[in-house]
Amino acid sequence: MKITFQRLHILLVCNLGASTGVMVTKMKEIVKQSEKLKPIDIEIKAYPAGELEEHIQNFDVILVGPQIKHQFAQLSEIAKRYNKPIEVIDTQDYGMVNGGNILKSAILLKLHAEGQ
Amino acid sequence: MSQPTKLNGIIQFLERYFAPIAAKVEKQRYISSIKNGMIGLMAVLMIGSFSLIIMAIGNMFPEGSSIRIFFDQNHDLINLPFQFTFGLLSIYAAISIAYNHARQLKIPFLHSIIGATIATLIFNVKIVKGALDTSFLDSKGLFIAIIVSLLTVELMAFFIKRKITIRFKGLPDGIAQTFEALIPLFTVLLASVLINGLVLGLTGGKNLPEAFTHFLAPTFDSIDTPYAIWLISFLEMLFWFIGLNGYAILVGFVLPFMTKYLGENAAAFAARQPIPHVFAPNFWDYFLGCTGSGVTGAIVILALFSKSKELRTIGKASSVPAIFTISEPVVFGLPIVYNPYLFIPFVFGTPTLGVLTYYVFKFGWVRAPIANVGGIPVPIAQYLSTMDWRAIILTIAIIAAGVLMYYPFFKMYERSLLAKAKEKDQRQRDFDQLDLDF
Repeated sequence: MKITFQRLHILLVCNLGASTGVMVTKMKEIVKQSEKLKPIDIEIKAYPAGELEEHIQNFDVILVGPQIKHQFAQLSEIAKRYNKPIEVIDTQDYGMVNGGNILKSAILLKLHAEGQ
Repeated sequence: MSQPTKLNGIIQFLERYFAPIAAKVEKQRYISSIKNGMIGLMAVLMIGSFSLIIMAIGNMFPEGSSIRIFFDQNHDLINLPFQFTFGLLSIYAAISIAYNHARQLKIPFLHSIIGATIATLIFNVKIVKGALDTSFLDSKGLFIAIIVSLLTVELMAFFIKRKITIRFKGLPDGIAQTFEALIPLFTVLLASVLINGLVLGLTGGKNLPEAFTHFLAPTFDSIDTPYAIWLISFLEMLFWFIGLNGYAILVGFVLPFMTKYLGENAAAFAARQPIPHVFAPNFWDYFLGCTGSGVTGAIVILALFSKSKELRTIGKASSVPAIFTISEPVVFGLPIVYNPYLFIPFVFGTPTLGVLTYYVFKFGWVRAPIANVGGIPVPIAQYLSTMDWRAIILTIAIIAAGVLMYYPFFKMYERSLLAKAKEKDQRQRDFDQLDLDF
């Protein structure tokens, strides 16, 4: 699978954000250090679930923290309306703050959304 | 292995019937406004707690010493932050809840907040011989403030959405909003005055907070009991077990009660009287949920010394968060969620441990939380919230009890992990195909 897109803006939605904040920092660090991601315009931000609709338009993929999985139906309804791919973050990746895996899932999510 | 297989049925049951309840509770607009409003209020309680902590430091010095005398002489000044935070809690609650509710109903904030504050003041302030009696603006008026603020904002939204307002064409937005607010605000004012007068008349001079406390006192105190603590903690752990933030789901119901208890505890402490309640917000944060909901610090300790390399790695990654009472890394990383091996101690053990801790406070072996702190590491947080050094010993005891409680179950899980051969799954292969350099 080849990365075909130029831009990937990732929105993480969560509860009140302590652990998600750490995750965003970690993911940004990985992006900064990666040579292969250099040509792509990558942005990562986290917002509470209640503000999804305010921000969704500026992003390409939505990742949902596993601790608010129960709101997924509601959130994916919003995502569907704006035609954005959405997915719950793997619990173990989330717990271990495995930013690399989560970044890769976001890339896969975007590729799948583009029909690859 | 037979025990975990039996538990799989329970897990499926929880997934099917319990998770939707969580979604409904969080979507319920009153509960959600109360929750967000009360969480906003925590900032007021935390800054107000500083004066209590300073006062407690003063009390550590022996009677008659020069430092003690200095603290005693300046008592009123040191007490000032407390008086204007805890002592006026109802006003801040009205502001915070009205803001969150107006935001939710998508109506202008400013006049909703003004309306809720006016109504709260009318119901909670008594006029005695022409002077204002503000003693009901503290935690005694909290419940009235919450209910009145929600109703006020609902009423304002009703008027604004049905356009029963005064509007002039061509006015700038800010001024137009002021005129728009006139009719709804007047209605709120009139209704509050009438209802307040009615209550005073019917009860022979009791205002709403007084009448409320008088008739509903048993209900208020019912949360601060071992049964309620067991049940609340049990439900919280059930939610966490299926991967949902149980605290966030339940706190909307419990926080008003806890805040009221904290207000009474703080006032009692400031007046050097016995502490009346146990179940203050910091009891849940730092004792019931010591090192993270489910006493997860105990699991982190077990993981750090595990035979499995995977578990050791998770233990290392979650130890700093555990010190800051953040449980997510170990809850999702180990994982505890959906882990049948840990179901019994996590869901049944935690509330039981919590009830034992409740009795330690109840018997007066350690002073119950009188202040409210947040974001502070274990065991300093436990010390500051109670201003009692014995809280540190209690913290260590809770963690040690947690280790004992989890030990046999943790070992079963460890064995199952060691036996399982590691296989690369489809996801990992997909990741590899991306051919990235991280």
